[in-house]
Amino acid sequence: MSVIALLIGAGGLVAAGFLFAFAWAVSAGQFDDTTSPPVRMLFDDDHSEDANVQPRL
Amino acid sequence: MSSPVSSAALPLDERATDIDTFEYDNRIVRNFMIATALWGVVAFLVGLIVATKLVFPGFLAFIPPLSYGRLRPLHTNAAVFAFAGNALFVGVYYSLQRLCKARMFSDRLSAFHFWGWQLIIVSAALTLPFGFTTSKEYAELEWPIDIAITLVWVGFGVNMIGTILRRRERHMYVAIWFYLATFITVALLHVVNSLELPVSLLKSYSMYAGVQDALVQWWYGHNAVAFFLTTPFLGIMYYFIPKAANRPVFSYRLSIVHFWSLIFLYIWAGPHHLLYTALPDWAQSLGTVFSLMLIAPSWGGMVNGLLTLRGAWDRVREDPVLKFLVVGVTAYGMSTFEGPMMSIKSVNALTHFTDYIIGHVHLGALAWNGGLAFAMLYYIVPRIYGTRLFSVKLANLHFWLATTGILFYAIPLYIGGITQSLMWRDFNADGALRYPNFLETVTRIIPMYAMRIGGGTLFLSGACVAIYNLYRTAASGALIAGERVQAPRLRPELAPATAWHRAVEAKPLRFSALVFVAVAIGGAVEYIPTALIRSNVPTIASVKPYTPLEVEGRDLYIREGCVGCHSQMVRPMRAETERYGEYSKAGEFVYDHPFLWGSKRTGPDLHRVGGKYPDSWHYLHMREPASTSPGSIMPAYSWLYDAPLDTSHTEGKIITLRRLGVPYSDGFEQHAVAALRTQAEAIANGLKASGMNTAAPDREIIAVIAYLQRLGTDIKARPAITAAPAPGAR
Amino acid sequence: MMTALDTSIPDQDLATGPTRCRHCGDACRSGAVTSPSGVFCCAGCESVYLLLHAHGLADYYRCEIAPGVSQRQTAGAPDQRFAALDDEAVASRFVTRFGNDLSRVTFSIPALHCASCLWLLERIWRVESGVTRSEAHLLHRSVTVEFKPSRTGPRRIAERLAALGYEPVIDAEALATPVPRVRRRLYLRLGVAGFAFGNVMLFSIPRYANGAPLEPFFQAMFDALNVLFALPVLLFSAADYFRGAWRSARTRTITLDAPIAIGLAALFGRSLFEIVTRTGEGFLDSFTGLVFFLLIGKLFQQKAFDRLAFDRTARSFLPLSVVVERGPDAVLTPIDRLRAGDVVVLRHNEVVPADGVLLDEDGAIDFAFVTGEQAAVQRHRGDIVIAGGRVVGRTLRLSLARPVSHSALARLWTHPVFAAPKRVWLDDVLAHFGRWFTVAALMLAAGGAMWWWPDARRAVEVATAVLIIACPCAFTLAAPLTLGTAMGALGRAGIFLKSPAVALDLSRVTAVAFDKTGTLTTSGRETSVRFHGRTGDEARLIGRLAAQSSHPVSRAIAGAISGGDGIDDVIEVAGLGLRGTVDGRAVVLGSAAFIGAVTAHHVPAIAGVTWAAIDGDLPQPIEATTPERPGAAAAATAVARDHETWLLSGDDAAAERRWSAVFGERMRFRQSPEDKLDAIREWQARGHRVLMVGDGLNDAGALAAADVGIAVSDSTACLVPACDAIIAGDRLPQLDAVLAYARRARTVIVLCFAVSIVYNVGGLALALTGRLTPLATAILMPVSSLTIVGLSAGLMRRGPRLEPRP
Repeated sequence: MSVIALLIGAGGLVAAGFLFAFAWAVSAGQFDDTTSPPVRMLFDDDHSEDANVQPRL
Repeated sequence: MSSPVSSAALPLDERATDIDTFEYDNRIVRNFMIATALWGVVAFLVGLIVATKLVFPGFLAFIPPLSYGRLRPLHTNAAVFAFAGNALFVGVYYSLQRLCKARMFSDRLSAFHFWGWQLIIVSAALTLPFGFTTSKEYAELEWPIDIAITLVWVGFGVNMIGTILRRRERHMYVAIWFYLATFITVALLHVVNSLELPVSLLKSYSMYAGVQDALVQWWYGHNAVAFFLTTPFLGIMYYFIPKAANRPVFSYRLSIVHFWSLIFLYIWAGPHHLLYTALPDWAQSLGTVFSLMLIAPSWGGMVNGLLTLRGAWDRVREDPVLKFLVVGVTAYGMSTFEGPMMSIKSVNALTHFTDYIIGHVHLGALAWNGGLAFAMLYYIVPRIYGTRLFSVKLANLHFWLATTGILFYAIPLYIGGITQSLMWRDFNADGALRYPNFLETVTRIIPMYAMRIGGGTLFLSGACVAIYNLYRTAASGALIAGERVQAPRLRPELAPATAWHRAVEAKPLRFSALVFVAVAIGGAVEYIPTALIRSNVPTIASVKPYTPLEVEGRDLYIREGCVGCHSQMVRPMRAETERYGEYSKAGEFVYDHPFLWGSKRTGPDLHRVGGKYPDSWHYLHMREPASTSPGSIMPAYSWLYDAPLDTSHTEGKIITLRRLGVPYSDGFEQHAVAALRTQAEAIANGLKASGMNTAAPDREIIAVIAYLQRLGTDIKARPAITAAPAPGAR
Repeated sequence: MMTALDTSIPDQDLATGPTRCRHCGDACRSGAVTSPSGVFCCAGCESVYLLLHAHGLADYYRCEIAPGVSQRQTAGAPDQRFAALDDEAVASRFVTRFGNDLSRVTFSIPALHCASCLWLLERIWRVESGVTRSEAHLLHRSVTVEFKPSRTGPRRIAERLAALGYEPVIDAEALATPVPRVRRRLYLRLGVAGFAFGNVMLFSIPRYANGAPLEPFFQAMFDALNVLFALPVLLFSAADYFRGAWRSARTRTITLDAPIAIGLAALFGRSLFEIVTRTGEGFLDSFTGLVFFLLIGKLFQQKAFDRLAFDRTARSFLPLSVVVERGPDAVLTPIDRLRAGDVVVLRHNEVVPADGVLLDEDGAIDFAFVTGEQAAVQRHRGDIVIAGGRVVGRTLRLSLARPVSHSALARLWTHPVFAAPKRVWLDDVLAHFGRWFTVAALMLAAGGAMWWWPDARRAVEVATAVLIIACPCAFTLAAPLTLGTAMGALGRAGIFLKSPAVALDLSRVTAVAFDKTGTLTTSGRETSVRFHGRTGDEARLIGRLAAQSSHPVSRAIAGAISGGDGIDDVIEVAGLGLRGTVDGRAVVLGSAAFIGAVTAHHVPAIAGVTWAAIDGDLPQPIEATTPERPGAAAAATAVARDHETWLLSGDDAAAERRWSAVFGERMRFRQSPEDKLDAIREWQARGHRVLMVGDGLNDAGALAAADVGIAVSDSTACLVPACDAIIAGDRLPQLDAVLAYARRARTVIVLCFAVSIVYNVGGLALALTGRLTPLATAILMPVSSLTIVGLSAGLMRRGPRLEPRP
């Protein structure tokens, strides 16, 4: 069943990758503010009409 | 506006130059939406056809490419990769751009991804019905297509990551994390599971054999569901529910915890698909435990999604988008409860191999993936066409058609599955099987199959209504191909000083992390060869490689998709040993490239079918199943009787299999075809002797019979009928 | 486009009741503006509304209904407010420079409260040219703006923000932004521990699941991987416990870290030994799990309300800079550069930065915040004016007597009470238990070892097992979880604790002292005026006269009436009263003495009463009182039921009658900040654990000295010195419920402690008899922790409820 070793190796690699991603996210302050982002994503984009550019219709 | 402060808006040049004006790429979103809709209909239609075949075996039976065994994989692939796949790309391409406040990294890559993916689907539709399949579920496509998938997928990943790197929003919303997880994990799963050795352009053998192949396949199979049908759609949920309800997600913290816990748990739950099989006990228990643990994060996510709508239920009543989202998330909750439950051994014993599983997966696919997909379409189309939904009435009609359709689909199959399973294990007073004839247990649930057709029809018609509605919506507006928006530039170098480097340079962490990676890589490198060639599965002396004719027969068995209805795994339970014979041992499969354990028993298990019936029985049965088994719903395989067996690759197959560790003696390949002929002659003569005068040795049917008669005979005490001593075993 | 978020004022509120301001949603009373674009409560709101529309920012009103901040207070304030930001030294505190003509400035914006605010504040680049980006922080209530110094500057940005109704706080102590570092590190530690826990479990389950031993190949691989995963947990995740233990060992003050560290060391050490010597599989799953749970507890411990800045000193009450007369011209000078002898010019509502001598004839100064005195006091040329006073009415010139750092205000903060950190009972308890645990564990371990001696191997096993099981994991979880939950619930109810531990101290309070001004009564500025025996017309006449004076009482009276003109020969005797002819009728307004002098009538001098006579008629009283905070008396009475309750007022005894009903004899008036502090000390000496409820600077000493100091605050932005908790003004009636809730939290903790002890004892039994298998540990450890979690969560759900703030 040595294939299990392969799977664990593969899985482990991914897991380690995500651990690093996690480390980056935390220390980049990604999770410092968990209040604003869920609100911010609700806002519609700033369509640039008022910059005298009409969106092409 | 006359007021002291009233000044005109700052003209563009007045504004800081760091305010970027850019366009979202809505065209690519539109394209993926069209693909989703069309392939969806195809998937549902093919599903309907195969469902019909289960009630009317004669339906479209005469055309080989449209036979049940060949269409079933087409259906699953269309549903998973064409419908759900394109849907998840819609979600990613629409939401990622907006969450990152950036256009997709490269239009070229977007186009490459789109057309590449559609090409893969088309090639699937062109190969599967003609029997070009690896027989590994959700991974049936042959090796050239596997390579194409890898390329296209990497293109998608590069495009996504490039967009993330160019984002104008500092925070990465949780949905983005789910998308990233999808890309990375699926890439790995696909590569690991698709390791195969080609024989010809469209024929290959899995690198792994038997139990190992099974384990890899279900590690993949489970995670394909996890990371292709779940994580991306969770990301979609976390974007579209708040957007549609216009209220922030119930708890953003929870959603973050949800993601990380899911990521760290999901990948290990695979083995639960192999309970009671020849897989080592501890690996099975591992699957069970981790599957059970999965309930926590899954339900955390569901609750988070539903609670986001608290106080907005009045709007759910009106808005079709929210309706579909709610149904989808609820279904997610149900399936993520069913799943872990079915990974408990005793429950699994009942539900595995039955239609219960079919109901389960359709609840997921139709309600969770389908629900979210259609919610997305209803949400996006009006927006990118700068118009309103053509008809809310029709959308609601679709909603009810879909919902009732799902119920009419799932419930009968749940009932049918349990009923049949109970009949399988039903003993009468004097300890004999109450339903020794498998066919009885099938005919009993055919009404359920019939009802399921109704459900499918409802769902399909609903989809058609949706497409009409969406088409009219689009027609009433004009595609805003490039949605022009403005956002301030994000300068990463100005990011508030982070502890990042210090965190990673924190010696212990960095040290152990590097060690881990090193060991993981080392381990992988060292074990891959071991895993692929030298299998340390306890071998059984009497188990011998297949003869060339049996190899060809086995490949026909694969070509016709027999594995879709017949398992080759007798579980160690009295009910099964009574019905089929000695339970299956790991050692019996050491030469099976790929494994053919199957996951569904529409027909009986075949692992011990070898020698159970005379060749003549098989000969008659496969030409006209009803002739030997009245009421059988197995399709007739008339073409096996006309087509001559193609031996042009026999030699190559022997060589390939030897490379994979099957102990054919060197040079055996030269005599392979000859050996094949001799064995075929013997069988044909036997058939002639028993009155089948038309039986010709060079027909495919002979090879199939040879294979079937060999199945599971190696460990039987009495020599099998066609027990030709394994040629030149070392 | 955006439709209204459901988080805002329900529509029917807007439909019924008074017309609401289109911008801020306040009821429109006197001074409302009706314009083509709608009804506004004040001109300020209207101008903001127009400004937003002018810049295509109308969406602001789409994501919430009337999300604006009322401009009534700020309206018409002089625009010198942010002049200080022109000063490099001052600006440097807010601005970070990057190369290539780019800077970033961060302001704290108390008014930032909802989705709309976030939306608007992140679109400043649409309004202010030269702004390249802005990011708002809903929790910290701050906004970070990137800009090109060549095009704009911090001052202009601040003014722009103020114009939009988001006035930045740039006092001398602005931006007490919580440092996220600590929490980031904790998240990281938690993540690593959780990750390792999951994977170690993965590689341990096979062994538990498998009846027979695993194939050696996997056994070896899994063991190796387990060690690999456990390593970062030991070195990184658990580092703090070892540090803590080491520190406590050096300082001989054993904390709870000690037994934890010992337990962890024992766990890892023994596991490593077993694995290396192939004598067993080790306890690494328990080890990683333990650390994981411990860190979760820590996470709750670190809970804090980021948006509230506790521990602010008097300086945050002072302006950044003031106008100083240097020869002919007035120079804006940061207060740190003020020297004795400088002549400072202070406008209406500006705060006196340092003690000084009044140069003008006379002027009114409001010391409510410093001394708790209700009415503004009159000062004459040559009088000393102490720092912290707020100028009322006409502009004053002061010659500073001493620099800011030596002012009376500053001296208050040199009092030792502010130096020593407050003792938190929880720490005492934990320290106590910590000692107890460590000693007990070590002795048991030794005892167990001796018992099994000379079977050395067995002895060591037992000893380590005891140390492992004695590790008070569940125990350390109980307090943080429960108190964390309590802190959350209280926060939702409008009571913000400085740290979860405060809840525990609240539960032990035996005596409660209330400040009056600003605590039981609403803050001094909005005085309610009641005319006795006057018709509406007469009242209007008096009001119009009053409008001529700058004296706070006059202003209050004038404010009660919409003023007008047509007034001749006004004569004001500063601090006493004024007379004049309104519409040809002689009106006299002033103190009893003044009336007595001007008219023939003699009227009694009653605190808080002003008299007025028209055309020499019988003077009639005008009551100018600050209204009692709704429900304040009730709250005090309720608390009085099971606590000794006192009133400590810096004000005169004017209100004695009113409050004796609540406090009986337990009232002290004219209390200086020091008096209040001493009073608290006095009760503590009598064995009381005192809760002080106050608001102003004058309570700072008392708040600091008390076992728990709660500051009453009508806007969490305002200064709350030296307090352990902040209670929103409108939540004061909840005080009794809060105390009850705190007591309940304590009971829950005690219960959890008991349960966790039971687990430890049970485990010890196993350990001492040498029957503590890895599996047993692996089950016992998380199960005990989870019981505590469940217990705490479950019990806190039931029992006294605090209704959350609307």
